[in-house]
Amino acid sequence: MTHTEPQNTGEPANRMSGAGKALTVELLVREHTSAVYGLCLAYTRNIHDAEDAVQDVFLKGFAKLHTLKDSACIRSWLLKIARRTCIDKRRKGLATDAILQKACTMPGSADDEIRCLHQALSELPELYRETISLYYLDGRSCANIAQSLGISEVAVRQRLVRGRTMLQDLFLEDEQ
Amino acid sequence: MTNQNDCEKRQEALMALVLGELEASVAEELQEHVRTCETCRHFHDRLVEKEKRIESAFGAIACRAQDMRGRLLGLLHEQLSREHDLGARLPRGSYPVHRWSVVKVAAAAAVIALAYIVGLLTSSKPPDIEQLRSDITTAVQPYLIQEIDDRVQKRLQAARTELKDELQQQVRRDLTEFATKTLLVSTKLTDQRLMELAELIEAARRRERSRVVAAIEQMELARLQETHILRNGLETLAHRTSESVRPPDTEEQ
Repeated sequence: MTHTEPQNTGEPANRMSGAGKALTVELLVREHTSAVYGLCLAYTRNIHDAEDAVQDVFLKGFAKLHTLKDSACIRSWLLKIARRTCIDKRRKGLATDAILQKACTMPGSADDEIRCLHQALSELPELYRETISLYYLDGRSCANIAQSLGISEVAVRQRLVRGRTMLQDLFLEDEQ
Repeated sequence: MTNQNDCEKRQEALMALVLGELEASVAEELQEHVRTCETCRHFHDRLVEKEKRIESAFGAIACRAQDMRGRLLGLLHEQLSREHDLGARLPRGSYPVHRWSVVKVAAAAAVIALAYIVGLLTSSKPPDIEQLRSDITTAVQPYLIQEIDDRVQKRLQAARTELKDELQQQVRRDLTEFATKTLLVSTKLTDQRLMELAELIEAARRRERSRVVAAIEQMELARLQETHILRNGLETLAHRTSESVRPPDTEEQ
């Protein structure tokens, strides 16, 4: 097992090495925030918990970046961390209380629309949830989603059609 | 009836059309049908409307994700600069895992000790203690520094996580308390306003009732006056009538 020896550069450390490829904090955040946000949205009870989870995921990912063997897999690696983080949060019961969530949401506002969508999403099966979130928030590319989730593009398309059909019904029911 | 059934069968295809998952030729054919069939057009338009609303909600979420990028950058940069201030030579992510550091230090010390013993046994000259100390320092110091750095980083990470959890719990407690207090104050205020409203309604009702009673009394008085005037008039009429119809002999008598 080889290790990269630390070097004393003396400059502010805003670069890090991950499996031989230099990654900056800006690149990490710019390229992967939407995907991580989408996945956290699929696994949490409300938008505030999702945002807390995104923050935790990046802090954890940042701290464990040296364990990443292949920088090409960074997105699926971050999504795994996101999945684990959200599940841990739910298990520990650190989710924001529903009453508080409602108190912070004004009816008819964009927050209310987001709440309705999140409610509809949470009623979908898990597989559809994360696929749909990634689709809408991460550039609508089936190929990217397939790579991120480690499944085929055909499977992604099937999940999207079924999931979006269900989402349309649920979203309207919630609004009514 | 057949047309209705056909349209119901087309609903799934219409869904795929709206989601953009239909082959071009099939999509064109279906669009042609939608133009001519009112039922399918209605269904198609509703689907399009729903899809727009879903996209709009995801658009709002995407805006929040965009805002979050700035916050994340700030957070990660803050962490980097904190580590830099603490004397970290590289961000924590760049540190190798020194699982064998202790073993290496022990091995180095053992080799040096062995060499010392061998030298002691084979050499006639006494050992150079200063040289030996300098050799040991050179061999052991880098590993020890790495080990100390690694442990300090681990402790810092644990403390950071603990502090973050505590802060989150505190914020949640504060928010819940704030929401509860706001709810209580709001309930009291609503009760007070309702009581005031009820009192106002009761006062208005009393005023209206007294006005109605006064009006009825006035009407009764007017009626009595009218009756009195009428009676007087009738009596005068009767008196005058009796005088005019009295027979002449009665007058002579």
